[in-house]
Amino acid sequence: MIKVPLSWLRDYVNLTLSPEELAAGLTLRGLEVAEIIRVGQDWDKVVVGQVEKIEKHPNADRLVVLQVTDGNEVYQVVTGAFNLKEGDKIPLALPGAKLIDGHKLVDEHAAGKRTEPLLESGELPYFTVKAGKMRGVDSNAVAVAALELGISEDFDGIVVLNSEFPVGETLAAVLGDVILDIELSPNLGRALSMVGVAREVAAMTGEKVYPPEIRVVEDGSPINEKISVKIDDPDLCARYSMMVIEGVKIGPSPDWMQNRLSAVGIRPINNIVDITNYVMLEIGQPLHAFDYDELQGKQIIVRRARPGEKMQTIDHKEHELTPEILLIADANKPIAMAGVMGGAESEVKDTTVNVALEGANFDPANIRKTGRGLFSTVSEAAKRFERSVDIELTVAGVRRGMQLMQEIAGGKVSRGIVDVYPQIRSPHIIELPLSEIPRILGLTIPRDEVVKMLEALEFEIAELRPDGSFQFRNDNKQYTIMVSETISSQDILMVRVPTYRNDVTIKADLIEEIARQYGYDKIPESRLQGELPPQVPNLAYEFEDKLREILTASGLFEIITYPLVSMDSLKNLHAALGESVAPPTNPGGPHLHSLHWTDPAHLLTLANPLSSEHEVMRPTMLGSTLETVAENRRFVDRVPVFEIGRVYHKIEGELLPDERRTLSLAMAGRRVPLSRFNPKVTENDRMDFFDLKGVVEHLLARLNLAQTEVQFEPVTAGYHPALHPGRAVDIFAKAPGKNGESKRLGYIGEVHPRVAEAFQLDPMERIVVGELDLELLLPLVERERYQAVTRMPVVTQDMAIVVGDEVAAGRVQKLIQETGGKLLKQVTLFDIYRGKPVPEGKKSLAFRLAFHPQDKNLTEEEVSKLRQRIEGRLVREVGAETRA
Amino acid sequence: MTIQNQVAEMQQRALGELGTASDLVALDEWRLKYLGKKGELTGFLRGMGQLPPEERPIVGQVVNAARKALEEADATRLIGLQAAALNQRLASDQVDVTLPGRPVETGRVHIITRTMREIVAAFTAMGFQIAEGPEVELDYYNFEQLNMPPGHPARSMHDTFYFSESVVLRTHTSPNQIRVMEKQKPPIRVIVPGKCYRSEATDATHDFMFYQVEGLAVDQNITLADLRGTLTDFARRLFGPERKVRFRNDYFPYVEPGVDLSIDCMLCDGKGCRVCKYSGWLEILGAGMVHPQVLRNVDIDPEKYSGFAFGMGPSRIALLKYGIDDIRQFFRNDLRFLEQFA
Ligand SMILES: [Zn+2]
Repeated sequence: MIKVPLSWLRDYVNLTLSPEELAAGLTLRGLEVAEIIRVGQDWDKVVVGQVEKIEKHPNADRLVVLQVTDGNEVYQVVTGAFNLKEGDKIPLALPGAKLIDGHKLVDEHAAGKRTEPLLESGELPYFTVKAGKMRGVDSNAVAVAALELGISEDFDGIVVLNSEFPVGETLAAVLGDVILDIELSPNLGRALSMVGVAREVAAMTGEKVYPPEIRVVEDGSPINEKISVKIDDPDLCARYSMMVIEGVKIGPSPDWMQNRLSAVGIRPINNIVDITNYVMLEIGQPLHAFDYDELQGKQIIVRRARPGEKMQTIDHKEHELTPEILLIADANKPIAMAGVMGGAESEVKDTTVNVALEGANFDPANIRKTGRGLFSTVSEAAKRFERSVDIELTVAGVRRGMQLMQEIAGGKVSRGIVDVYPQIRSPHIIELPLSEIPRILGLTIPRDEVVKMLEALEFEIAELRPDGSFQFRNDNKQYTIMVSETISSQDILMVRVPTYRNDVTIKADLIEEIARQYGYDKIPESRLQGELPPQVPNLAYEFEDKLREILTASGLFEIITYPLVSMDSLKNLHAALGESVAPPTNPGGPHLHSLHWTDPAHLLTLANPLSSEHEVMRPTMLGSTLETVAENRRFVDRVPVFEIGRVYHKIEGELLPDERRTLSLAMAGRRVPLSRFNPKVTENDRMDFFDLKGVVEHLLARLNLAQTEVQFEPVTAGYHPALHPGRAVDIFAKAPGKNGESKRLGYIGEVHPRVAEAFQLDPMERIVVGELDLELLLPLVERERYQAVTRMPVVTQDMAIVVGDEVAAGRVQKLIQETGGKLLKQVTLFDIYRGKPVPEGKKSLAFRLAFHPQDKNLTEEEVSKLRQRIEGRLVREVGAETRA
Repeated sequence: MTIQNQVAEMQQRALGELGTASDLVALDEWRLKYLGKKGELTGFLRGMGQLPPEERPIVGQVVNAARKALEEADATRLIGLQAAALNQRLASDQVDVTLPGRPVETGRVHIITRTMREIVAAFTAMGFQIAEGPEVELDYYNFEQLNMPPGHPARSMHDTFYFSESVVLRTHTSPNQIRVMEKQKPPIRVIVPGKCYRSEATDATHDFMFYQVEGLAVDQNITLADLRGTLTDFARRLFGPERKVRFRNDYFPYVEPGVDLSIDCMLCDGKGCRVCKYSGWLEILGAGMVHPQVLRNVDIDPEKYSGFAFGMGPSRIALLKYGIDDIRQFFRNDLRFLEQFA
């Protein structure tokens, strides 16, 4: 981010566009203007006044009475500020003017309701100026402090305006400004200065850039007698320039400079420090001023910190240094953390007389690491170094600083400059075949136009000499290129990149410059042509969509939860572990196995979580699902949900985990909605195990696992500590054939009351959950195959049998199905009865059998034969008695 | 009285009685009485044996004419009575139609899923293939191969969760550009949806998890103009044909030239409001021409091939499309929120 006051920008380029046009144009070019701030647009009825007379207040020692003219009329003004003298020009607020209520801000700050800076402490209070009396004396207008105008935090004195401002002029006309707040991507370091932005404006409007003229009177001692500089680590510091000024007078910097710094959000400190900031904002070179007399041995050494070395920075924090940190040191000790922050000892103080001014170029990556490693906020200097600064700017920066110091703080500037630049960098030269423009941009631009565009951006284009070689201005070197039958020198531009464009190193970068200059808004629109890649389905993605279709049709809502969960949430799943049977030692494979859910050996844990709420990659989705159920049960009486997501398991010896697509399911609450059709929503209408089992059965049937036999087996004791031991099943997929492999796809079951409690759910409510491993499920899915639909009448018969209570209904059903064979299309268990006349310890099961004839009508004999066979088998295998 | 007269008298009487048969049961009785096997009309035929032979045909004709008349009258009456019976049934069946219907409860697909499907469908229609990649990702894919070596300033725009120095939670779906190009050579057109993570404090417009949809097209002669056309088509398909589309320069280390695509704010029609931060524009995706170094990293010759890549956030798109004011709603999964989106 950089704030650019147009009043400042105008020093370096003519502004020919309105602020809106300027903002829109810069935004298209990549300098995104986030906001156009208009300073002074609400200074209605505030004018330039001149103080004619200052008298004591007759009734109050802490007040004075001013006579202030606006050119037409003289206003009597009572004020508590004592900084004025007769003849001063001040902002005068006439009745009706609206000002920020400074007293209220200060009071609220004192009461702890506001923090500094006050102007950014939320909604601001305003007051309207009215004529009235203060301690018995008429006061007809207000002499205004900076805080009341919103231009700075100063509320101690009245603003004293430039004496050249015409009396009676509106304040907005003389002090108003438009500030562009520009957001800069990391490649735009070059635009972190007024001159940098001016260059972009100039390239956009065809105007010229006028960088500041630098003139220094070098009237002091030769620089070599004052200081020597050595760079020990040129990989981290490519260039270091320094000058010394002696006999400066420390004080506040002039108003114009303070105003400019405040306008861009930098707090004025003293003239020397302000000048370093000002030059950085003006041309982009960060500077650092040292108190010359604190430099031991009159020596600067740029080196890496030594292990164990310590230093105190200007924020008065002590830092333990490591050799990754680049230091500026004198003969004895560190005096600054290079490019990041100065040291406390060598900083410029009120007593400083002599100043050594550093302009250096540091390695961006190292600055980034040091700055972000040690400090919570990135300093303005570091912000620029991180994005890389023009290597040719160190000297200009130091000289510009010296010039301003001499003008503002006085003193004698050393003769000459120390400029250590071990490895001189030559500007980048790029060969740009013009054919790249249509190839990448999809448009053709004539050579002359391209040259003009690049030159507007201060790129130099080499002259093509008659012998086919290229030569740049001020450079004797001749460049030749490989020419071929398809490409001649005419088709190529040889481009020299300005040193401040560190971001341009290859052809593609130049192409972007051409596109920016051509105008992104003028790039044509075309559609992709050419051959399509082979079109193949993404089975997993389509499978997920199929699941969503089936599950939403089954009444479930899709949820999406954070895969980052808390350790507590995982531990909550084991809330009942102590009470269940001891866990088996080998639950086999980690997938969906609850016993591993809290085992750090299987978990991926973040090294830098934002909070413990979200620090582990979930090994199961059950926790997140239960949290969603609990959260929703507070507001709604019915929660049927599913999520398709991933669970994460460490793989031994691999960097990346196994990310397994998983389906999580949960149902809780009432089954049917309250309505006149169902006036009593009773305990029996609550969803339970069988609701979810029904959904899963339906889902698996719809997926068509034709070759696979799906088996629901009661859970093995201890395997599922999160589930109700008597109301849970494991789901197995058994491959065809007698010895077909059986894989565990997942489970469904009601949540153990202890676990429900741990998730703030009602332990008395049935909450049924399940998970299916989609990685295992997907390969089992087969294409549906047509089966003939009979046109003959279907024969249905009911069959009731009595079996022992211990006989699983599923087993009976399976026996019926198997025995009935192909003709028996459907077996529906429609009643279970216990009690008279069924003997104690037994139950009656009633089935409806639907026989579908294949090619001819079924005879009664055929049906009763089948039925006898079924009954016979049931008698033999489960001791059934048949009933009429 | 002649038989003819008797028949005529009977016919008249029968027709009179028919008028009083007020329901289907009475009609059945009437039919039995006159037209039944033992009915009066049959009685005439039976009595015909006692008539002189020459009269028989005449009487036969008379009886048959009477039968026809009675049968026709019967049929008409039957229709009338059936209609009356039906009307009565309908009348007695009447309900208070203002009562609510029987409740139907079905689920919903998550709004983010739905938005993602819309985005993905727009691109699959253009021949893009769907790919997916891991969420726990190597720094190598997430940054290094995308022109962001350690210390690169663009890394500061990616607040990264990491497990170790080399393993991170992906901060964008762009690593899949590399993963796809390692396996596949041009022509390439893929779209990669998925979850991404940034270690940012959450507020109404930021969440530490979000979805992204990445797109990549690589071939000979793919241009910035193709990028503009393709993504403008997409933006109008998703947000409506009347939308203005702004195409501006932006920076991502793995593309050059870089692009930001915005649409004019549909909430204020481009006039400026809180949602568009008073700019009138809403950024919906970042894009650009694949950086030559990225192509080189996967052994695709950048002198021969070019391509474009883009990335966008379904959360942000859903936020804008439906005027949702808090991004955290998405993964809070309040059913009262989720059920608002069909
Ligand atoms: Zn708007």
